[in-house]
This record gives sequence, C-alpha cells and structure tokens, in this order.
Amino acid sequence: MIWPAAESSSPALVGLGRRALRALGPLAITLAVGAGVLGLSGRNPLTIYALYLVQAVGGWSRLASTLAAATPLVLTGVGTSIGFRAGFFNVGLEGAVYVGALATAWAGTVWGQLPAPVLPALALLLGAAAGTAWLVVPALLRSLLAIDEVVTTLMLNYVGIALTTYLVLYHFLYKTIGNAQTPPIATSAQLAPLVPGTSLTAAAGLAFAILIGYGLFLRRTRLGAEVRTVGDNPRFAAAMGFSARRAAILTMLVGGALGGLAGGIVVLGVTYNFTAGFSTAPGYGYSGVAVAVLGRGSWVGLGLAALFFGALASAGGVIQLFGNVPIALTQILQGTLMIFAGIRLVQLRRRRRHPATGGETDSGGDGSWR
Amino acid sequence: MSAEPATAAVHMTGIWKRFGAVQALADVGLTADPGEIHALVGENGAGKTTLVRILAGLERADAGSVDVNGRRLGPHHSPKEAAEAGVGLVQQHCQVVPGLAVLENLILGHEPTRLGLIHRRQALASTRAIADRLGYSFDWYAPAETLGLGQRQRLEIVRLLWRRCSVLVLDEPTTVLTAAEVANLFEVLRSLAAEGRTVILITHKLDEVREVADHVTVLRHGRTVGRIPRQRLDLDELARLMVGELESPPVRQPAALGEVRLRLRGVTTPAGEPGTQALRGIDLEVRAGEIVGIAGVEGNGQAELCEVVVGLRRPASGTVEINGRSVDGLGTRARRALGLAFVPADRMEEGVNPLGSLWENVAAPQIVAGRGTRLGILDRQRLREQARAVLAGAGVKGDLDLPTRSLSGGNVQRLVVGRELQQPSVVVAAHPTRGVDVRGAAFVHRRLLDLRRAGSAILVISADLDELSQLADRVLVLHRGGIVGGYAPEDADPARIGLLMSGVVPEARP
Amino acid sequence: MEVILTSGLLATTPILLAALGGAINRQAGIVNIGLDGMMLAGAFVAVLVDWHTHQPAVACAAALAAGALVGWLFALPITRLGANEIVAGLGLAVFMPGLFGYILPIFFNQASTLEPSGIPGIPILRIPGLASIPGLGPVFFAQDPITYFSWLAIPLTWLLLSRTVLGLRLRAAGHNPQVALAAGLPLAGLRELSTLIAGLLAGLGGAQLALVSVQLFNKDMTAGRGFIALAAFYFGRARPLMTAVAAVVFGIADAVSIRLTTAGLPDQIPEMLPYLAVVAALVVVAVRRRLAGANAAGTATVTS
Repeated sequence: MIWPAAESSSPALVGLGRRALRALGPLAITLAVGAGVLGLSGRNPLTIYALYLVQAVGGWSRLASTLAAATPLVLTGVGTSIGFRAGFFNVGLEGAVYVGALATAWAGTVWGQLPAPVLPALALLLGAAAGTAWLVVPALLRSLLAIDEVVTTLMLNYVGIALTTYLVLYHFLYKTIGNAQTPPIATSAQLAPLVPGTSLTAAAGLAFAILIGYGLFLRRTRLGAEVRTVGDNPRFAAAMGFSARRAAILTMLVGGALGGLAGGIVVLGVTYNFTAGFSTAPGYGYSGVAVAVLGRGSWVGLGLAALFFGALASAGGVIQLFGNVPIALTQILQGTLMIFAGIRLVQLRRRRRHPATGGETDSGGDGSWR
Repeated sequence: MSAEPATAAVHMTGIWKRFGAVQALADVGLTADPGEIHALVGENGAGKTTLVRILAGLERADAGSVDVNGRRLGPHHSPKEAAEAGVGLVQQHCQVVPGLAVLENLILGHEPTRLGLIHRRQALASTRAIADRLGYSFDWYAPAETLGLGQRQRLEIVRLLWRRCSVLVLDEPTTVLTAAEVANLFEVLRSLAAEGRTVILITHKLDEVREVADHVTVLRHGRTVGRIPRQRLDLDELARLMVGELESPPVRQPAALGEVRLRLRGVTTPAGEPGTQALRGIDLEVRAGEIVGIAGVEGNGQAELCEVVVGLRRPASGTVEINGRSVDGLGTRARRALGLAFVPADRMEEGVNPLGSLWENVAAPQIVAGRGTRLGILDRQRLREQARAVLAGAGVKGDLDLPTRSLSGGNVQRLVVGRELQQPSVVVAAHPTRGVDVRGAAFVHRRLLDLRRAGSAILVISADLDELSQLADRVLVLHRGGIVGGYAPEDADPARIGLLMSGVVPEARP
Repeated sequence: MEVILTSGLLATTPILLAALGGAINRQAGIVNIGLDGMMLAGAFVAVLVDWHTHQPAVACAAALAAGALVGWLFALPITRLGANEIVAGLGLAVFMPGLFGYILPIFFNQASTLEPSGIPGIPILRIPGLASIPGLGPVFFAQDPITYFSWLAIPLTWLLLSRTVLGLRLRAAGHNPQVALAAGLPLAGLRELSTLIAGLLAGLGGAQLALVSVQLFNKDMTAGRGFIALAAFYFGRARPLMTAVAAVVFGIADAVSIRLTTAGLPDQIPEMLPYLAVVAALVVVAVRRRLAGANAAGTATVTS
C-alpha cells in the first residue's frame, strides 16, 4: 500500500474530507519551507504567494495556462495512481513520456499529409502505443519473475531519456537548428489553442475525461474491482480468484499508455517538436508520481493535485518577471512537495506483498533486491 | 506445595487475562522448580501461549502475580525485565536476520567489542563453548537464512544461554522438528535441567510429556485443570483432561450420501519450506450430503490442505478432483466456477477485503465470475440488491457502503459465511466459528447443516472437537501432514482422540 | 588507453563515494535516490568555503558536513513521518538544484554557475616513486587525495558494515526490522544515521567534482552521477566490493561517453549502460533464484 490504509471506501463525503486534510499536511509544510527560503532571502512570502495565486488563477488566460500545465500531469498522475491502486509502484512514466513524445513527433512529421482531425489522433495513438511498449518489459518481469518494478521502471527512465536523445541526434535531427530536436510537426498535427496565447487545447478535455474514466473504471467495472482488491488485500484477492498477474500487467501497461499520451500531448499542443530532455525537472512523469501520492488514489484528489502542480508550474514560469524572485523558487516548492507528499501522521507499515512466503521480511541488501 | 513460593524458579498465581470478549485466562497458576522440565499442555486456545507471554513480559496480565527465582517480577513487567530476571522465550518460529551471519545474529544487541570492532574471536569462543556443551554445531559464518527451523531453534537456545538465562520457555518447539531433532532437543533440555535451570515446555504431544516432563500443568479453556507430577502421569487421563468431556452429537437424520464431490488422492506438498507443514500423501473423499471433519492440532497441515483444495498451493504430487473432474491445472477462479466455496481461517486477511465496502465483499464471487456484470461493467443495482439479501440472511446489519473493517469479527464471519454458503457444490470451511459468539456460531452451524441436507459436500477443519462432534458425519485426524486415523462422533473416545492428535498412534482398541 | 583510465578513475570518484554511501544506506533499509542532491550540496559548500578560506582541506570538511546535514534532514520525513523514500528521493533531486538556482542569483548575482577567480583547487598528489612506474604509475598514483580516499573507502565500508557494532546493527535494521526492534535497537535512529553517512560520502564526492579538475560550482554539475551511483549499488547488491566494481565500470563508461561526444560519436549508448546493467542483473538473479527454487521442489505458490 502506498497510501495509508484508511481510505478507499469510506462514505464519499467523510472520506473526501479526511483525504483533503491529509493532503493539506504536505501543502502546509511546502508553503512553510518556501516561506522560510523567501524570508531568509529578504522577500515577503505573503507577497510572493499572492503573486503566485494571481498568476495561477487570476483571469481566464492564466486559468487556461494552469489547466494546460495540469493536462499532462493529470495523465501521468492517473497512470501512476492506477498502478498504486493495484499495489504496484510504477515510476516508469517518465521514460514512457519520452518515447511517447518521440513517437508522436515522428508521426506528426512523417504522416504530415493526413488531414487535421485524423493526424493528431493517430499520432497520439502511436505515442500511447510506444509508451505501452516501453513498460512491457517491467510489467512482465514483475508478473512473471517477481522483479521489483520500482527498480526496473526507474532504471528504464534513464535509458529512455538517453535512447530518445540518441534517436533524435542520429536518426531524426532537425539539422537547421543546433539543438537536439526533431523537425517541427505538420500544421495539421498541431492541437489548436482554445484560449489564444495559451497552450490549453482539446487535450485538456481528453485528460480530464480520462481522469473521470479512471474513477468510473475503479468503481464500476469488473477489472477495476480486481485492481482494487489485489491492491487492498492480495491474499483475499487470491482466495477469491482475482488475478494479481493480470492486475499487474494491466495497470503497468495502462500507466505506460498514459505516459506516452502525456508526452504526445505536450508535443502536439505545446512544443510542436520533440526536443531531447524536454521533460525538465521535475519531469512530467515524476510529477505524476507526486500527483498520484498526493491524490491518494481518488480521482478528485488526483485532479486537485494535478491542478496544484500545474498552477505551480504555470505561475512559476512567469513569477520571475513580476516578483523579483528567481524562477527556481518553483522547483524548490515542487521538490519539497514531492519529499513530503506521502507523509502521514499515523504510521502504517506498507503491507508486504507476499506475506505467505516465509518468516523473514527482508527489505535490505544481501538477501533480496527491492 | 505450601513451601514452593520460596524456592520455585517460576511461580505464577491468580493470572487473569481478557482479550476483548474472550477470557483467555481465568485464575491460572503455574509453578516450576529449579532443575525441572515442566510441561504445559492443553488444546489450541487453552491459553498456554498467553500464559508464557505474560511470563516473558510480552503480554500484561489483568491480575495475578509473577515471581521468578523468589523475586517478585510483576504481572506488569517488560520483556527487558523478564530477560534480566533470567526468563528466555524460544518462540515457535524463531526469526533470524537474513544476510547476517549465524554468529552475528546470535550476538546482535549485545556485541562484545575490542578497539571499536566486534570482538569476533571472543564472541565465537564463548558461544561455541555453549554450543559444544549442548552438542550443537553451526557454520558460524554462514548466512543465517540458510538455517532450517530446527537450527534456528538451537541458535535461539544458545543465544538465551549466552545471555545467562535460567528459565527457558519453549513454545511448541517440536512441531517444526524431525524425530531425530526432537530426541536431541530433549537430551539438551534434560542436561539443562540437570544444571539446575528450569525448562517450561509447551506442547500438545502427550508422548513427549511422558518422555521428558517432571511435572505437567494442564490448561483447558483458560483454566488450570490439573497439575500432575511425573510419577502419577497417566496418558489416558491426561488426554481426557486436555480434551474434556465431548458433547454428544445431536440426533439428526443419517446422511443421505450421494456421489463423491471432493476427492484428494496421494496429495503431497514439498517439505522444507519454512513455516509450512508438508502434506504427506493425503487421501480424502467427501460425498454429497456429507460433512467430513478434520481434527488436529493446528500447524499439522490444515492450512496447506485448504490451500491445495482451493488452488492456492500446488501439490508436488497427487490429484484433487471436484465433482469428479481433476482440477490440478485450474486456478482458484476456475475451481470456484465448479461450485467450490471457501471459508478461510484468517477471515480478515483471506475472507474479506477490510478496505472494501460490504456489498463489494459480498459480491466478490459474482464479480470474479463475471456474473452481475455487463460488458465488464458492474450491474451495481443488482449486485447491491443481492448483497443486501445475503447480508440480511446472515444477520449482518450495516450500510452497504461501509468499509468492511467497521464490522466486528463475528459479523465479518457472518458476512463470509453468508457469501460463501449459498449454493455450493463443495465447501471447505476452516475454523468457521473461531472467535465467534454463541449466536454467530449457531448461525454458521445451521448454515452448514442446511447445506448438508441440500446435498453439498462439506469439509470442516477445526481445532474444536466439540464443534466437529456437532457437525461432522465422520472425523479424520491430521498429524504432521498426514491423516493418522479417524472416528465417528457417535463413538468418540476423548482419550483416543487426544492420543491421535498428539501423535501417539494408539494400538487398536476393542 | 592510459588517458581514458586516468580520466575514468577521476570521473569514478564521486560515483564511487556516493555508491558506497548508498550501499550503507541500502543495507540499513533505505533506498537513497537523493544522492545526487547530497552530492550537489557538497559541491556548492566546497566551492563556497574554499573561496572564503582558500583552504581546500577545510572546504572538503565543510562538504562532508553539508552532505551529512542534507542526508540527515532527508531521512527525517522518511523515518519519522512515513514519507515514501522513492518519491522523496526524486523530490530531493528537484529541490537541491532548485535551491542553488535560487541562491545563486540572489546572493551571488549568477544565473547558475559560481566560479570565484583564483581559488585553490585540490592538488594532484603524485606519490613519489610509484607515480613514475610506466603505465600504472600515472593512472593510479597521480590522483587527487579524495580519489585516494575513495579507494580506501571501499575496505573501510566493508569494515564498517561487517566488523563494527554499528554496521551489524545497521544491517539488522535493514534486513529484518522486527528482529532488530525485538533486540532493542533504535530502528529510526539507525536508518537516519545511515542516511547521514550516505550524505557525508556523497558530499565529499561533490567536493571532488567541484575542486579537482575545475574550481567552480554549477547547479547541474552532478549531471545524474547520483543516479549512476544508485545503479552501482543496485548492481553491487549493496556489497562494498561489487558496488565499487560497478562504480568503476560505470565511471569509466562515463569518461568514455564524454570522449565519444567530443569525437562526434553517440555517447548515449555508454550512458545507458549502468541502467541496463542493473535490469539485466536483476533478471539473472531472479532466474537463478527461480531455478534454484524449482530444484528445491517447487516452493511456488499458484498465483493464477
């Protein structure tokens, strides 16, 4: 269990309130750390935070920017959270974001003669497929050989970043520019901004639809029930005949697909090409991990956490212009929020995944690997 | 007896302990002298382990007094105080730290040092001297996880002696040992007693009592029912004391036996896995309309038997048939689809998802089987209606959307029984009324007997012999992973059953 | 070849130190993904202190302290508040560059690089006699003191883990917390201490990075070395010797990839090596374990 055991099925409103309270802990600590940094550097935290607020939600175009920034984070948050829900710690969406983005950029360029509604759809599908494929190996290793998915997915992220850089530089380089980036995608592949001057596109609608779909999937479908049961109580799931293996493969691949989709959306709606290392710190995938932890599994929580992260990112991008504070303040806040995202005031041990396999629980080095 | 408090190594009197609704111990006493091996016997749930946990400071008594070596220790002492008074407990499944060497495990927490480094030579010399005296040998630098359960137990004994323990308490030490290891253990215990130490040995096995004990204290249902010195030891009487008087089975219609619904043939599971008892060639048949009971001391293969039937454990050899069809290649889901129902022993871990809502827990079999779903989408209304009916029938009150962990243990069991025992073809029920109140138990029994009448084939595993008498048409006794005998409840002889369960295979009696 | 080895060993040092720290941390039960941030803190403090004291030795001591402090602070949310070590580690890797990206413009009027002029670097110490052995000499005996120390740190780590009371207790805390608790050991304290040690070593690695070949600090200068260290101690299964071997191999690969870049060849292939190596090693171990399990006559439980 990644979250404290308390939630999942308490009556909607009470549970929501409790979860909101839990998420406020990390937020409060983050704001306090930020205030400390600001205070020590002679800035008034209240002024700066007010500025953040204005830049995040003050006016339609700022709101649109926040929504646009939240869009990929909704997807990576959902993609990570669905793995958490089944008890799998899939942190491999960062890699999926990269391969998905590159695949989408490739399709958006090479299939340029296709008409507007078809091309973006196909390009995004290809991106999602690439992201899915990227996580096939960790999913199989997890379900067939019980190899810890935390390590494999984390390691493959770095492979994915290096691999896409290599592919761009040596096979798909836009040579007229000195940077490691692909040629711009066809105009017909671009997602048009809904609010001029922002990157808010129809993709936001798609992302939030997927968020609601995630909630419905978990609550209303057979597979969703399987995923939740396996995650909540693996031994009960086994005794009932739910398949932990299917839940592992399904959730990790869906995570990969959503990561790929997130990368593709950034390419089609924001950057219009693939640039090596485009998912800058904290990275869309890693932010998704934080969103998933903060959101505590519920679709409402995920949405709010993604919006908060999106607000930080979109306001942080312009804060330097107005507030006389370095843009890196945003990274400080994002980093602090990630560090404290999972805290709980009542300690609960993460349930061992395979309690029946023997006496020792070995979480250390020699005996077994994480 | 009156002079004992002054000299006794362990003197516990008037110990009371309650866990929730269960009175685990009621005015229990235990007195053991220096230099003796004192056996503490009783059925499962008699309170033996609770009593020694209180002695070792791991549990606090509600009332009573504990003296060790003539000094008042508590009833509310800490484990540390108990250790300092010389009390050491060898648990049934001794844990080790994997990745640490055997020697490192032994000295952990009390490492001798020299120049800031662990003084391995001194540690080795002092511990090896103890081991040698007991006739034990270890590969001191091997990783501890390679030790078998028997070796771990020996390591723990050496550790306690190294820590200068004068009272050794062993909680069912022999259940994890081979016959040769048991013999060796007893030899060691005798030599420890000869050195003037006190050994308290928890066991179910009466032949072991006969072999080593100087004194026996018998517990039943949380009360002391006997304290017998060696010279007055009579196994038949001991067995009767342990088991008590069995209730006579209710008069009921004889079973209308149908075809064989559940059949196990030569089912064997691999030995050597820590914490499990291997099954040794189980042959078993349960017919439609029949309840077969499995009696035995816990840890003799009951859990493994359940897992093999339900499909959670793969046998090394042998076959399992449900409704005349081999299910060896089938998983749990497919077996359930054939009409298998399972009431697991550990209801909070295996019986329900405590985080899930009541209705989802009731609907779980439907959801697994894809019933009550359309194109993979749950028909919530229908499933909830069904769940409501099941819960009402089982007498569970509560909002359908409440998390299941909000129910009491008894109600959780009602939920499980209500869910599982609808129209099954084959039932496996493990300890179905353990920790359940009287009315809840009556409900469970009624359900099982109704199903028997309706023609289900039912396997009931229980440590409660009265329960088996009430329910079963015939009872088989499981010991060390094998079926060692059986009886019909009508002519149950407590002494013989006690001996069977204890591993003493009684000679055929008239 | 000689040049590659020399520069490879130079590049290995921060990775090796951080990896050994990570191994100690791992043995005590915490997977430290924050090594990169601790290294960065060490690098910054080393440059800052060197600038003001002109004493590289003092700068190194300060780097040690800075890394240790960051390590300890990083451990607290994990050990005391139940934060997830993975997410927290990723967070620290975001936080530290952010912190320096914030400090540099405000206090030093620099965007991302602090390069005080004329500060003394950590000198190369040629070991008299040995350094002139042809072939080996220049490679192994003409390095900086921190590099020499990093080699010494391999047996020292081994000694700490396997021969000291602290090491034994750290390992117990990591390998079976229940037994450690039952033996009366302070679980959280041990884990915090191990993280502090990891930070200390990573911080020293940062000092080497900032004061040997260059004398400057850049907020992105660790360039993922902390993550290569992570790969190294995973590959080495948190054992000092194997971790060190992996760190050296990965360090040399790092040096090679830098050479490839300058030669206009793809450097991304050697860059991927540490991470692929870890995945491959995991597979080998799992398959071997499975085969061993099958030989021991199937401890397999059915997972359907």
